[in-house]
Amino acid sequence: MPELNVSIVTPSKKVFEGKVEYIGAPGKLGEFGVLPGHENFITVLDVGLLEVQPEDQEKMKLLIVGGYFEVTEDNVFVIADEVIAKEDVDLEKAKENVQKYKNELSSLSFDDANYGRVRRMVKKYESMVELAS
Amino acid sequence: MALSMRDIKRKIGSIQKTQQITKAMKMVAAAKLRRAQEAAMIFRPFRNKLEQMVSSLISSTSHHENDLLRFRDVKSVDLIVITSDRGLCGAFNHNVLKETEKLMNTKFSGKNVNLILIGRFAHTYFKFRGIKPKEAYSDILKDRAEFSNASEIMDKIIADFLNGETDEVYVIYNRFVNVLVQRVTVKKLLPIMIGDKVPSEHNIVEKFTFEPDKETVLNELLPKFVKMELYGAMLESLAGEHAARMTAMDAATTNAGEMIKSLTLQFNKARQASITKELIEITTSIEAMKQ
Repeated sequence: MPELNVSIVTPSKKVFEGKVEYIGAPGKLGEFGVLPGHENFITVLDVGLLEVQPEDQEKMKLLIVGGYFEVTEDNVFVIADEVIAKEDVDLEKAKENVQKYKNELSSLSFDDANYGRVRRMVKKYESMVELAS
Repeated sequence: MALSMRDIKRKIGSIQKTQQITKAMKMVAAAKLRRAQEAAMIFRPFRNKLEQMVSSLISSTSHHENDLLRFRDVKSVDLIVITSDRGLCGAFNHNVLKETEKLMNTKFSGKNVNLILIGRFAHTYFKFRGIKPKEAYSDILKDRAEFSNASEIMDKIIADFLNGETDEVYVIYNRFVNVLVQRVTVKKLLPIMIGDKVPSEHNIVEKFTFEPDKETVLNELLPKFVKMELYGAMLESLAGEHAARMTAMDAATTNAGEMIKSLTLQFNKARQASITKELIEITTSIEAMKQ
């Protein structure tokens, strides 16, 4: 059975390295999944959940905050700015932050300089809540 | 005998105090080194992956497609010089500064060289020589390097590069090889070039598909890559600084120990001499009284 060699790295640690059957990632244009035999491609990642399905193991979910995704002949590189695992999420705090940034977002107009940043924060903490629950 | 016993004793005391300080500094440097080294080592695989990715991207891109890849006639050069804020670390800073001056006088002579200085040492050095830096940052490399600092510095440089104020950007720093060796490294940051691969129009192979499109990916990835390169240089320099300080302080402690040893010997000799002298005085006076 063909597999993907996946490695996920951030500036501060190597998060995952191994063979998987499937990887799903949040692209800038929406979520996508990659199976073995995929065409070579490069894309920019958004904030969201990354799913990996290693062989004979349970599906792993990670929160990824921006980064790049490359597929070359069944080798997958994920270069992320930040990766948060399920164990590291403080659910209460994440919920609080969702509320906080949502409020901030509603007070901003669409063309405000901070709009994009705050929206990213909302997305980050929403994904955190999704990851933990 | 030049020094009296009391003088020697005082000298030994003062050297012992110096030794205590150098020993303490060595311990502090060792503790900081461990953290800095770890950070630098963990960053390396990340950097290599990123470089691989950028390199495969560049190989399928003509250098006209993105401004950060564009070569042009070099009139003005930016040099980023990374030194430490504090001294007592041997030749660490000196090596970088010498290399910078060498480059300014050879490779870049006749060109307009702008300096971007990181660390107080570089700043003082060039100020003394009457060279005004374009930008100077100090106190940003303390116990750890922050990516946000690297990003901020690089944003300005990228902007200058894009509007044509500078044609090439280099970074000069100490690369951490091991605890005893820090190698002065000069790296070209802009225009982005990996290995000797100069992208040309002819041998472009479109290996990849891009999402959303090539331009977006390049615009995201290339500035990030340059920033990461600077961040990596900062991490390496910081680890190198602590390593250099540790080695320097270790040597100082050993030297102080040797000095104490030789002074103690001198002190013992002086003491013995004075005892002998007193004995001679007593015996000669006894001899004199017998007559």
